[in-house]
Amino acid sequence: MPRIPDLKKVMVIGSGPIIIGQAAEFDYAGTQACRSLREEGIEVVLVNSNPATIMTDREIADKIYIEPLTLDFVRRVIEKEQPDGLLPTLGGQVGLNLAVQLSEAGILEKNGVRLLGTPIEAIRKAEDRELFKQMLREIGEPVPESDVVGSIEDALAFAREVGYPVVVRPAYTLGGTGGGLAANDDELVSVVTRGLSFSMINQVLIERSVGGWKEIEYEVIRDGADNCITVCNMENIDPMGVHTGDSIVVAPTQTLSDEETRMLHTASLKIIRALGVEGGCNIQYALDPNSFNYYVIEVNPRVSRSSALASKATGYPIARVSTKIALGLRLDEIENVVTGNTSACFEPVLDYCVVKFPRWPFDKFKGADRTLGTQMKATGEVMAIDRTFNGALLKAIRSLEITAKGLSFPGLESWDTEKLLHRMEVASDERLFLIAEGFRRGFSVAKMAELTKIDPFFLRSIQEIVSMERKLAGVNAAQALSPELLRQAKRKGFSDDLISSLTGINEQQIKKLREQYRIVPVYKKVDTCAAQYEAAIPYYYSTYEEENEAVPTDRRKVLVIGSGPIRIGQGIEFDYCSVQSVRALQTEGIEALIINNNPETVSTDFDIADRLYFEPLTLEDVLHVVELEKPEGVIVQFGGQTAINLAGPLHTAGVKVLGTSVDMIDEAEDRERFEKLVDKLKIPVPPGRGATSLQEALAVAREIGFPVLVRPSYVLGGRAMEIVYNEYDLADYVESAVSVSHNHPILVDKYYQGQELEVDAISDGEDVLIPGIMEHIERAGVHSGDSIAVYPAQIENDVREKMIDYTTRLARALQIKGLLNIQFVYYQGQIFVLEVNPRASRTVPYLSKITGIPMVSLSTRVMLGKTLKEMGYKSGLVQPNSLVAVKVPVFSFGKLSQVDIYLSPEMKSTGEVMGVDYSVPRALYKGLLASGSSIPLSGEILVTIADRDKEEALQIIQSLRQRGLSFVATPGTARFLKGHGIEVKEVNKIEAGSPHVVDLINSGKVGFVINTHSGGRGAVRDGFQIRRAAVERGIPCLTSLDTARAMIDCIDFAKSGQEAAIISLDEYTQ
Amino acid sequence: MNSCLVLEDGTFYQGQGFGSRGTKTGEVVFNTSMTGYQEILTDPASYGQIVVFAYPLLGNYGIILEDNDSVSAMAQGLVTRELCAHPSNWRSMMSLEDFCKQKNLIGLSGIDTRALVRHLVRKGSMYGVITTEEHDVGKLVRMAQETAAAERDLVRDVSTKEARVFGQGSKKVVVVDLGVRQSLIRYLVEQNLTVVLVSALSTVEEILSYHPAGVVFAGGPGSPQFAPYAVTHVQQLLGRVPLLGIALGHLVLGLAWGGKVLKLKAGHCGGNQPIRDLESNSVFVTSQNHHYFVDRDSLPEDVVVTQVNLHDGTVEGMKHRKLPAFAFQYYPVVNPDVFDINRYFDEFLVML
Repeated sequence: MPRIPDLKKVMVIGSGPIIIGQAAEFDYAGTQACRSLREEGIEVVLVNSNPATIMTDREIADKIYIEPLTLDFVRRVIEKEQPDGLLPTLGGQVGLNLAVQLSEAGILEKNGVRLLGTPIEAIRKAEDRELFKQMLREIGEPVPESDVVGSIEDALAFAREVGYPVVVRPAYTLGGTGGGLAANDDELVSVVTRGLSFSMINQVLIERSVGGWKEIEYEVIRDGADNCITVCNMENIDPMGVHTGDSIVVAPTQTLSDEETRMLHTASLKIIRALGVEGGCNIQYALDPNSFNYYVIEVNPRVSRSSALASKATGYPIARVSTKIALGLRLDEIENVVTGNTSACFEPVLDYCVVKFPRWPFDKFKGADRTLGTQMKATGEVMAIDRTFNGALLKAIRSLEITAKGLSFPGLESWDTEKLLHRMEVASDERLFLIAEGFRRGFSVAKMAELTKIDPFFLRSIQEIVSMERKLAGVNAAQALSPELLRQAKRKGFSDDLISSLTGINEQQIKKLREQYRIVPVYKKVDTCAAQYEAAIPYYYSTYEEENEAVPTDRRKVLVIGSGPIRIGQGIEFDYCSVQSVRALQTEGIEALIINNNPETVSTDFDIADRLYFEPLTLEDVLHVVELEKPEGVIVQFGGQTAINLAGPLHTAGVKVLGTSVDMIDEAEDRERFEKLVDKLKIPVPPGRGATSLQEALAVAREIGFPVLVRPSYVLGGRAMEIVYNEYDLADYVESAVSVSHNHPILVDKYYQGQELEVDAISDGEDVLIPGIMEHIERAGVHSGDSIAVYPAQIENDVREKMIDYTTRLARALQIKGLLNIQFVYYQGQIFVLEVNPRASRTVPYLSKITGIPMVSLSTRVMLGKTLKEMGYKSGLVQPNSLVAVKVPVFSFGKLSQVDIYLSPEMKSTGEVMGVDYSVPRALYKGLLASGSSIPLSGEILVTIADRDKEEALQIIQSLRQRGLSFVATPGTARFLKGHGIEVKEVNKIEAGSPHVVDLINSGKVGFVINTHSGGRGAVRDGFQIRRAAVERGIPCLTSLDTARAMIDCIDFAKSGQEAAIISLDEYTQ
Repeated sequence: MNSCLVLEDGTFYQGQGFGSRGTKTGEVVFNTSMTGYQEILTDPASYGQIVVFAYPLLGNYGIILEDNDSVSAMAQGLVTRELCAHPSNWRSMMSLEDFCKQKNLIGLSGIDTRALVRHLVRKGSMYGVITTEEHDVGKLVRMAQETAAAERDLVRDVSTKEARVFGQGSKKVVVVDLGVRQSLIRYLVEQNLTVVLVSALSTVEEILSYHPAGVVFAGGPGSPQFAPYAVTHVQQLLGRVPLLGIALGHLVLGLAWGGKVLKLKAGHCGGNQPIRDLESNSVFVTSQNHHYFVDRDSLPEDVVVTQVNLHDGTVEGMKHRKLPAFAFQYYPVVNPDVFDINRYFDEFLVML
């Protein structure tokens, strides 16, 4: 069958910002789709609000629109571009929902846009619970007893009929937002209430719980001629009941017999055929561990997180193949790019084992509820490959960067057994570690299986790891560590670091012993065919076996270190940078090697780098690759803190770190050295210093004056950073922070509540190019990642000149070769440097896109020895164009119960969007819309303002009133506002009893909340309850007056009746 | 224990022995299926072979006797990266290791099986010796070479010795046992047929004495060249009764029709062999376990190729233009997902 005729221009909708449940996997899928379309000579129009994606890069699509993913904006792009087709299934749930809306609104038909791939009917059948059930019943596939309900009464009636527990899922959401398990009437009422509010169509599915059954997934592909194959099956180690995004997943299935896999294989093909999917889809089953009974749980008629995982796990590019199918190609007409000489019509076979481990944000959110259920909480994930399950599991654990070397965490050994057993029963991020501890205490597999419902196969594997731990713990001297035992330990996946901590022999010595005994890893290929055909792709993983397949070439080569799992503070931006760096190396004719472990990303697509090493990012694992490949250097500037942290150790191990020297990185990061430097350069920084006790901290604070910014000295990325306003809060902080930081000093700095400014620059050591200066809407004290950033900064000339001067001198003094990022605060007419980061920052993609300056490419080439002059650039600030670009952070608070949402020095956002237009209010308006927030144009706003903010809030509230908004306030705020002549309704504080402020939020009568943090810590305060209630109800809640002030201009713009502009990336630099 | 596998080209692989003890020779082949080790080991087509499993974890779900594809294990030995000592599956009856002990299979674990598979892909399948005993490598290499030279008819070893009847159906088929998988018999019985399983050595008269509505030649190990009697029988039965050839039976029909049978370099052993049906132009994936193929160009005018392998173009299905006779290189019934094969299979059933 030939390609669909007359298809010249196709639109792809991306998935927007990174949030829990929707991470980098759709950048990976979308990027692959765009490349796949262009291979066929098709012009690609791309819409995505997320500037940190590769897919929004000039090289990926022909026309790129970084615009809000709303019906209105996408419609306008369609009207402007007039594409022939739309590919709806590559942009996650967001893209899919939008495509459905566009189709239902008649926009596609009106503009002659053809929906490609899976037809809208199939999407409906898969997404609408009732149609889905009906379809499955027709083809004789079992579904759990369930009902779609639109009210609490119906939900209760159903639960009483089939019995508890029941599972509730809202229709049309992602990551299980608003879903949950209910074991009784009370729980059901609360879960259903929330679920209904989150559902796009005000419906929830309620169904019999199959908790404890095995959760099995199939990735299936079908073409328009009804040919279909399964790409991969996967088994969740956690049984049913835990969201698959929060489950530890292994591929292929491990505990299913041939008969069972065949049964589900047959069912999968039957289902995809009945649905009529054209492209990829994911099918989830619950399988009874004690019979052949199974239920079909869910079908995703699109590429998904699981399909990204399946693609990386097998080497089969699902998004690429789905795209070709959408163009009318058949499976057998699509080339298998892995082997180069077979077609896409085959089922990949693995000769290794893959483990995916979720990365949760609980290290950031100490107070968060760590139990796992049907609502996803992980921000990202890692994948590991080895020839055994143990090996892959341990690799995955050390890839997580949660400081765990193996299946243990500090303090676990002192838990009492009752607590251990009790906590094991509930799924949580710690459960696998608890199981290992259980085995250390001698519990049986049967007991653990009973408690956890995890299959004994996996439990025994953990037991084997523990028994190896025991063997190693019995060794106390290097000479007692036999080659046999060492080899066995390495083959089980034990890192040198772990062996070292068990035996007490230092890591270097273990490495030396291994080299002496010739116990070194070899690298094998992921080739889709278990070596049956010679693979053309360079995708490798390490293992301790005989034959090494990764034979280095004799070309010049450089290793780029990736950024690992997506977590708060280290998002997709760094994958963008890594990929860009790889491209730049290739352009320079250098072989680009990449090492990374995140299966969601573009950087781990096997055709990005010249060689992909899918490995943990620990010193040992990176060194193994370096020792094999002998690259001329390693690039650490683009992989976020993960990579920069490796700079020192790699340098010590004799590896050449390209760009800024390790010594200079240290000078920028080491507090004392940095102070000396700025002193010498006469560059002002806020006063402050380290303190090792409360007395000392108090002394420093008294000397410099409150408020102060405090943080433990050893953590990075704003973790545990706080602003304290008085001695009492400082004492409270020191007590808890010191206990976390093991008597490391804390840093106490003067907090200047000024305007925060930020610079990204490229330096060759001599010339310093500053692509742009950004200004933060929120004042200093809100983490830069959580602030709304505006480019270009709207500042006075002399301030700008000073910033350029400081940046240039700092870059020269630190001999920066590559990127640097500097945060400034402008306070009472003076500009201070807050911190210097000698690496790519979060804003690099955003700034690169708006300015058109290829920042990563330039800095990569600088690292290779080129000068900015040679590349046609000179020192100084690049003149901005007529556009304003606003970066707006996006949070995932709805998924994390018990987390306080107020903006603080500790970063909390998971993603970002960009709004671009010809003025700040316009750009901000677009940015806010894109971030999912709304602009209050009428109705009531709830205001609860801390005392110290009241004066400042007054003017903002007056402005809002002039714009037709009315207010409800808690007594203190109400009194204050009335005192200033503002009409306001009063509402009880919580302690005053119902109906109180939380009841008001729950009633849905207020459409917006402005709440400022009263200081102090803990979850008991009213403020916390108010903020949480707003999040649970999906009501926008601003916790910074700066954001509220900025919103006033947006309201004016929205009310002006003008239309925001639609601007393509090409137009930015015209 | 210095257990090892030695190949006729002199390469050898050391690991840990499990299952039965001793020394055995056989053709060393690899299989890429990720599940189904038990079915592969008990498939009579694996008779005499030392099977190298590409998937590194073996024995996870233990042994489920009712899933066997023959009464006794048919392979000589097996090679894996890691053996699971404690299987987990609700139907599991014993561990793979215990099964190997019972069925006299020599196992070898701890091997870099990917390296071994790559070696076999490059060099083609070859003979080897698997041993758990003290040994001299040179001697074992010679042993492997001698076995290779002494290739012989394996069908008579695996074929049933006496006729057996299965099921009570409306129609009767005779299955000539070239080394048939039990799953085919089970399937035919489910199709409401009486199945008479007869020895591969049965004469045409014996076969016809059951008054079958159709005859199936199915199995089994090795090359059909070593079973000329089966070829003769097919030639004699052709046109007198509907014929169906499966797996080795497909090759036998090919020879009977005057075609040539050639050896594949690395075999089609695994669950992911894609096939194109030339009539409907649809494609599908099958599970296969064989090392020979019918040379397409050697087939006479009267025979039409119905299906080919998508990867290497080899013949996967054929039928006679005039006479009621079909053949498939794979087992349609173990590939229940494949609709179109069942169409041919149904055509055969309708002819009965």
